Amino acid sequence: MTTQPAAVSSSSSTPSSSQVVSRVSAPVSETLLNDKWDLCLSNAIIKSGLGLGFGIVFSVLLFKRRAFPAWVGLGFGAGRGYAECDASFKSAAGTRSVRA
Amino acid sequence: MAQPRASTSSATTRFAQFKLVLLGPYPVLSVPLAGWCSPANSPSPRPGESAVGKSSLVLRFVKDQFDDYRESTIGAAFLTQTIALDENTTVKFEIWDTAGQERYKSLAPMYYRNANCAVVVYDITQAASLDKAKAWVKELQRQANESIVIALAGNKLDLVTANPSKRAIETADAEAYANEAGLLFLETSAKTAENVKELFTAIAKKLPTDQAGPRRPGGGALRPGVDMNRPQQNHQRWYADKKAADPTPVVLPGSGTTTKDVPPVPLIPDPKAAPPPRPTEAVFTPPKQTHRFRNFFISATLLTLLGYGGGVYYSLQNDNFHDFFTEYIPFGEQIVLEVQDRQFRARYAGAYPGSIATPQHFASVTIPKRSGATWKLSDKEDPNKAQLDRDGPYKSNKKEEKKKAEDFVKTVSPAAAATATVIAEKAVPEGKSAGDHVDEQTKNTGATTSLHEEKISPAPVDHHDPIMHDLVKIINSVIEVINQSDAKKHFDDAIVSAKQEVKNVNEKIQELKAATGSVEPLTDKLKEQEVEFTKVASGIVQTMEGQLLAVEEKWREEFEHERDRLAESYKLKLKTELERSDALAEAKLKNELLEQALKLKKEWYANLQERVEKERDGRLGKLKELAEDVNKLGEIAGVWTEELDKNLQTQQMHVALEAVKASVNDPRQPRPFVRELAALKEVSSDDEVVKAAIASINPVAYQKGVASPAQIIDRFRRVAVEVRKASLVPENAGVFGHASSWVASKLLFKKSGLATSNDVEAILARTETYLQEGDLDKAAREMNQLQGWPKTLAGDWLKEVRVLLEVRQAVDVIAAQARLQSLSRE
Repeated sequence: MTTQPAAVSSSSSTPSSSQVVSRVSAPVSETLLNDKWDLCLSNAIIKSGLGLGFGIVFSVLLFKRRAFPAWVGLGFGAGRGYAECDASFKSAAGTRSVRA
Repeated sequence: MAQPRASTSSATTRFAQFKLVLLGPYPVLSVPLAGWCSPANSPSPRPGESAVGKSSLVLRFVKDQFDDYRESTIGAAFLTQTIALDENTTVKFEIWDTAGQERYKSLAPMYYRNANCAVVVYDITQAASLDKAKAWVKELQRQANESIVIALAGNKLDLVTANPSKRAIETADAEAYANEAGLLFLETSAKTAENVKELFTAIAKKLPTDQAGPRRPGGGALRPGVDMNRPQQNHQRWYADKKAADPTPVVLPGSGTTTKDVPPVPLIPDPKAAPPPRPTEAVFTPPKQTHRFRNFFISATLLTLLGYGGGVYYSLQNDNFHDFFTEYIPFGEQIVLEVQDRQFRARYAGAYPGSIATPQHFASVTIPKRSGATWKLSDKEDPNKAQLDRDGPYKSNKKEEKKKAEDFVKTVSPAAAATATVIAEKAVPEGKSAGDHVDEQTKNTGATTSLHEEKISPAPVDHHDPIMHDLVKIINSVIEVINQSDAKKHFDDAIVSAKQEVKNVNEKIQELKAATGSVEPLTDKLKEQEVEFTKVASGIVQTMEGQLLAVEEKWREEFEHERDRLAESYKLKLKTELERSDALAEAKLKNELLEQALKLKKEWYANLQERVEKERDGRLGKLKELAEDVNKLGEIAGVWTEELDKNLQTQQMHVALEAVKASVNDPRQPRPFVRELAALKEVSSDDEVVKAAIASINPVAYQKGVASPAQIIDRFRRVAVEVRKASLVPENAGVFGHASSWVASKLLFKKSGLATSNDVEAILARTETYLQEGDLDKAAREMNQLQGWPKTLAGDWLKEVRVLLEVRQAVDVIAAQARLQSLSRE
């Protein structure tokens, strides 16, 4: 799914002259959703990673290396990622506007 | 000492504390005695010469040290040392080591005031130091505590031991003095510590250890804490001179400190026994009554008076200082004014009427109306006299004064005669001083009695001056009055002088009158002169008239002569003027003739020219017609060339249009066709239709080129996949909506052909079919039906298709126009 837009742009740009390059840089309408998905996934991974990291640090520092803080942190991060992703999809419909 | 026990146990120990003052030239050392029985301090001053070694002595005593180079003490140093007299008697010295320098002398009383003992130190190598020490001893005995124990210490014994020639004061001398004054005496050495301990021990022994200094208030009752710790059983005195002090224990119950009778301390020397020779005494004479206040007051008063006096004097001399003094010094103005006023009065005693006869006097005076002795009369007389024999306002002032006094006396009623007399007497001597000649004359006539005088006066005046007559009458009446009174003698001088004055006045008047008599001959002379003058004047007038007549006749002749001459000259002028005007008229006529000749010439020329022109115009007219024909031919040719141009233009338009079509339909897309379009626009410069068609094309199309149908189909396939993914996305979908739509789209059945339903899948199928047919227009319409996300995703594809369609349409329109144009040409 994430590779598709790139493939499209490359396939369309190869036969055309140098002027096509500028066209690729502008977002094409059919790739809008795919871009969103890319962004959402990467964002969710980063947020989850951060949450997990904080959780581990807390577990080490405050909770005697027990596991639950790491899980909680991961949950927070993933939740945050999901929320932003949801918002980014809904922003197209005008309900929420969050730049993920 | 009294107790056998050597320990310092509180029960048996005797402890005393003393204030000791060390005095050099002016130092004091005090040893207060304190303890359970004598807590107070008793001073013991010890004066000595500066640098005699007081501080060294103390240092040796207190710390058992010696310093070769000690800095001189400033103010005073305080040290304490405790020595044990015997096993149970301890004495604590509070030592005030005073500074020896002269400048600290005034501080010394502060230190020896309550001192119990004093050590006066002198330097045995300096003769003068003993004198100062003696002075100190005297001062201590006079000013300090009565019972003060004074020790005399000759310091620097070590120097003398090393070199006996250095000794300046014999031991015997000092000892004799000490005995005489009742002092303890020792020669000490702070350097070798010789006799130092002994000195202080001797002092301690001499001090009454059971008693505070007699001057100490409540001395015996102080320091209860100390007393309680030492339940004293012994009350005794120790005296240095009685070394074996009486140890009889006196038990006084209920009293911590008891006092035995104070034996007379043999320390207070007889004032007469004090050392008589004191060369340096003046240096430190004890403070005596200074009368400071009195002196200050007197000097301040004197200075103030002097200042004011000088100020007033100088302000009378100098105007600037006068201004300053009167303005800035308090009371300066009043004082200066007063002084000036006094000076003025002294000079002009008569300046103020009040100073001569006070209003009170006038109040008591009554002037008889008939007497005629008025002020006015004497005033009238004044101007005459003033001019003749008075020399200034000052003297006249005095004379006037005298006169007034006299008149006053004369007019006074007998009752007031006594007072008036006094004034007259005062006035007369002044009158004498004013005019000496009067005095001489009065002396000559002095013998004559007042009656004789009465007869003398009226005679010379009578005949012509009524004023003088009155005056003499008045004087006579006054004399009569005086004659009747007893005080005749008193007025003798005055009346004689008055008469003399009257006489003088009379003489002067006569002189004046005599002077007036000599004027008459002068007037006669004047009259004669006047007559002569009138005669001369009339003669002059006659001669002048004769001259005038002669002159007049002469002028008349000249006038007539002149008139004739003028008339002749005018006639001449008139003649010449007439001649000139004739000549002018002739010249004018000639000019007119010439002008007429010229006119004729011009007319002839004009006729000639006219004829030539007519001939020429006839031939030129034919030439013009020919030129018009040629122009018409040119116009026709122009029309044809225009036609030709338009045809050419149409041709060019076709060519350009073809170029545009070719580039639009070129499979190698996208490629811009701006140049082709520009050429087309150039060619069809005026065509409105073409212009509008070109304007309708989206600029993006010719700037970037349009996609070819093949490309559009290709792109549609990709777009269709995406659209299909989003085909099931509900409205307002979040992550789950999209994800589920994506998953579900995989499960959908594919449609193909012209499906009838209106869902996304059917639309996609129809579009594909149209595209395969090549009907881009219909395909675009189908895709345009999509809603929501699918439409958003297909947006760009739709735009591309639309641009292509627009370009195609525009090209079609231009082609139709071109065809139309080419048809219209043919």
